[in-house]
Amino acid sequence: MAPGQRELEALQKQLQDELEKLKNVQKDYQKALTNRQQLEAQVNENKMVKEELDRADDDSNVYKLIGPVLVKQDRDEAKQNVAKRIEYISGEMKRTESTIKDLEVKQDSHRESLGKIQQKFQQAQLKQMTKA
Amino acid sequence: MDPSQIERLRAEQQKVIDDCNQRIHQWEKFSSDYDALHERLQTLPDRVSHDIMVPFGSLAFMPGKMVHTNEILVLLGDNWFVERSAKQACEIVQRRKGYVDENLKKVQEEKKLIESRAGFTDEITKEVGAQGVIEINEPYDEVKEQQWKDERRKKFQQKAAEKSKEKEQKKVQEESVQVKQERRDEEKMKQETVARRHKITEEELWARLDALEAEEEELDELAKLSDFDENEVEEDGEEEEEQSGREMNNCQIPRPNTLPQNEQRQRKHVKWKEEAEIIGESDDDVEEINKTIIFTHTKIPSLSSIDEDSEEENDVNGNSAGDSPRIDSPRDIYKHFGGNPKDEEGEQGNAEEVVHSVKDIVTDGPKPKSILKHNAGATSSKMQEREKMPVRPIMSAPKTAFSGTIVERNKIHSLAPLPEEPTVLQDNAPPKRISKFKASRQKAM
Repeated sequence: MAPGQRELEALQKQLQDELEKLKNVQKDYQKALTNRQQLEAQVNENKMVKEELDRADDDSNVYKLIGPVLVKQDRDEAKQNVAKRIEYISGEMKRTESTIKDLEVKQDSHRESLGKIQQKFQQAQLKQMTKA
Repeated sequence: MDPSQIERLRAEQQKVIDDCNQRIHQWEKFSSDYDALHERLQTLPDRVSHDIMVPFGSLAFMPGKMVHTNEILVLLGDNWFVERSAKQACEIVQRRKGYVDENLKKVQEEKKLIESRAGFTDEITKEVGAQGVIEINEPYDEVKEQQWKDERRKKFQQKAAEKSKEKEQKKVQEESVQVKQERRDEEKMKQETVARRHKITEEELWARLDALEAEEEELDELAKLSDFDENEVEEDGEEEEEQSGREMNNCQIPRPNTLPQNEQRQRKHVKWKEEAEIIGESDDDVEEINKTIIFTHTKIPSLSSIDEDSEEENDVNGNSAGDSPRIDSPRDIYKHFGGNPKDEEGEQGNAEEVVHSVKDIVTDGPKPKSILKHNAGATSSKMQEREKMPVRPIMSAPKTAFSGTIVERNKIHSLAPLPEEPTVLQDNAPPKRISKFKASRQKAM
């Protein structure tokens, strides 16, 4: 009985640990997902900006809002800045996407192990029931 | 499915639908905002300055004037501004509005899809609610399924093994059949075959094949004329039989049925060769006659004239028929009076006539019907015609620009064996082509 009981407790602990791990991974996964969405939105925004800047004539004034100040900018400079920003954000997005994939894999593995431990636990419980 | 589960599904679907509605509402708001903006931008440059109430902080307004009515700072995104005129700003607004409309469409489509799904769940709830609707549940045990699959696989393998054995048997039988053909033993129907017809044994098949062969030989006596032809025929028949053997997997009873088919094919094939013999007695002739068949000829009813005819057959025609064209069949009418390029092609249709003529040759005597355009009487007459043939076409050679001349020469060569062939029924002619199959068997024998 005693060893069976201990077994049961051990399994239970295992189950809980695995569950914790899974939860953590899921959190990270969600974070990464939101991150990616944000980056995607930024990229789209910057793309639109670039489009508009291309349409604007050379002589039109371009301003940038830095804090509470509107600062006049050179059009070509502004274009370059925007293009760089787009590149940077795209790179970030790729990185985030790879992280997401890894997290997905981790998640699945954790879920599997969790399921197995659950099975063992149930079996042990049955044994205990039958013994008792 | 439990009604509770269905209910839950329906609830979730409703959530999504509500979410979609919300988004649609938002996009529609954007769209209306942009519309208003567009309007305002158009009216703004009408006046140099506008009297307005300027917002002071978040709670107060002050009367003031709006100047620089054409200078508009547009927020492009990401804290970037650009100074534009009212008209240019209008254009920007239009573009943005297009973007908004796109998104709106997407969300509306999404909503439609989800609504249809919700409709399905509603139907299910109705069905479940109605009495008498039972869900069909089949027990599925993975282990059992796997076992069943394994058993089936084994059975198939066994069957395949049996089939391969049968095929081997068949091949052996066919080989033996051809061996007999080569020996030229005319074995008659064995009584065993009748008794054992239902048994599936090698002997039975042998005998059956022999019997069919005997039948064939009785019908087509020309099959005995030249081993050459027969061997060719056999080869073809061999292939056909083998193929049929390969095709047939299960039933052995149909084999006798297919055999006659094969032999019928053989027969047809043989007949064709017979025709060839009658015409030219050599494959070359057949081929070249085929070639000549293609050519059209200027048909002139007069049979004595040679020059006008461009084909051998016509020449022969002119030679043999002499005064009165002998019309034994409607075809002859064509030959003599109505020249059609199709005539030659239809020669094969004369197969039956030929058969009869062949029979006549062998059984009755010299009164064959010729496939050639001429209506000769006897083989001897044919040969005479043949002999004459080389003479006249040569004369007409300059006028005819066909390969008929070439054919003539071959015919000349073939004249020698011609008279012999009708008599040769069972001997092996020199130009004998033996298949590798038979050759190996012969060696083995």
